[in-house]
Amino acid sequence: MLLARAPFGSLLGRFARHPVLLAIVAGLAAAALTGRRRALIKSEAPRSWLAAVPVAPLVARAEPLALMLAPVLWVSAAATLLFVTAAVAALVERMPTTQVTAAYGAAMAGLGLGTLVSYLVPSPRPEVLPPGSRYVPKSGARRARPLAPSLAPLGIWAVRHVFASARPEAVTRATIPLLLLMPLGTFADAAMLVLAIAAVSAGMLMLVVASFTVYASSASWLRPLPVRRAALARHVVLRPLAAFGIAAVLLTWLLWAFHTYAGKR
Amino acid sequence: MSDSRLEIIGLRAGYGRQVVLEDISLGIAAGEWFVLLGPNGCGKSTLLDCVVGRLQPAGGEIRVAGLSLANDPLRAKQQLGYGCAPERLPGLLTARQCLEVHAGAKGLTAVAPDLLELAEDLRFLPYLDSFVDTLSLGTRQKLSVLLCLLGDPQLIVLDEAFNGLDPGSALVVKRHLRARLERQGAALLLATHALDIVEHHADRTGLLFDGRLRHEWSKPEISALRQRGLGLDEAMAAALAEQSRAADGAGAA
Repeated sequence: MLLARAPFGSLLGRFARHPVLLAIVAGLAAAALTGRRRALIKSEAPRSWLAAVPVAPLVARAEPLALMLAPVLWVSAAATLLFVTAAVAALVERMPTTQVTAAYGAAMAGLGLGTLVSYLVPSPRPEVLPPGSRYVPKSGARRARPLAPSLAPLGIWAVRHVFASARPEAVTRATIPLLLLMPLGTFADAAMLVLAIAAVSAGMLMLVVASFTVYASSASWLRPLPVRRAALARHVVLRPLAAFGIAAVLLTWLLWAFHTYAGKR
Repeated sequence: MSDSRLEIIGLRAGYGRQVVLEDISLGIAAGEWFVLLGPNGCGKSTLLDCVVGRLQPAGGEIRVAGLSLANDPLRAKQQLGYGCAPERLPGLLTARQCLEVHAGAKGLTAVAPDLLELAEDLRFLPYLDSFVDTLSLGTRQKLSVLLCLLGDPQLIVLDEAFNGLDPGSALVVKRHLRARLERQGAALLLATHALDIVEHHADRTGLLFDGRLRHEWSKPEISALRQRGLGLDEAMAAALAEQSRAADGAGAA
């Protein structure tokens, strides 16, 4: 069969033999594509730009719908093109087209059902964050609590400083050289242990640096206030010290695990 | 406790060898609203930094509510409220945590209800659990004012506190400050470029130029200027021109 001869055709042939799996994959893809597009349009362009143009209201209402369905429509068009090609090839080879038609039907049904499901599931309420915000909003309503005067939040500052420094791009830059340093043939579990040890060690080092930085910043910020340096240092260091202790325990355990692993090899 | 909330005697300050302030003497009485004017880079923020203890003066003396800032800093700072520039606030703490830290540093057990009322009037309460980094300039400015007023300070020091505030919130702050001065006998030292505050709220205004306090206007003098149809900006320009002529004359002699 021509379809099975081509490298891409073999994959297609495998899919054609499992129409239910194909329908599920198509359904999930359609639901994800439509859901994402719907959320994007809802957050960025809730009203059609055609609303200000003298066109029929039906057209203005249909435009966002078409935009939301665009990815699924593109996938459907590609699937139809593929089906037509496969059907023509089967006809040329004088083979039956039943399997290909069943696969196409399953894919289209999956796409339709997935799109429908993504419309039935209500999209989450968008969180309004200021431009440039790097914080993940907390879910659930918070109960108003009274202000409790204390210097304790200074300790949280240092821990947050560490997490704020560990941005994805910085982590990537630190991880790639480590991966490159690993010899060829390194097992995945060994690599993961090494990465975990490096991450915890780097976190501990960053915590120490952050404690000094935060102490200097808080001393400058609170200089006009009647607070002693010793009290300030105590509150800045207390929580990072606890976090450092936990990290040290974790590092010890990781080193032990690595030692045991290396002994077995 | 003396009637004077701030006494500065022969203050001299600078950064390294650069002298920024020279022979500054100033007194602010209880209930007085003093505005510090001056061109950019004349030393206004340096003077405020010395008053709140952020910068060690090279000479002279500063007394807050009768307490020497050099000899008894902790007790003097207890009487002091400073509204720092919004960019100096810690971005990784929430507004609530900033207030709690300031209140904790002042040794308070609770935040006064009138301050919470001011926060409500400024529509600040919804931002209480937001990180400072995510707040707009105006909201950070509100937080700075609230931090300054914690613990009912006898001397309130504000640096460009109305920058970025919307007119409604600025009016709320001005009224609250005036009420505080009258009710608690506190004094206010405000560095600003906003001349409307000088014309409508200040009891006394000083013009800082080239590191020296060159001119002072009292409330009646400012009123007289307005009656003569002269704006304070013109009076300021005239005073600065007079100083420049005097300096040129001294240089030529």
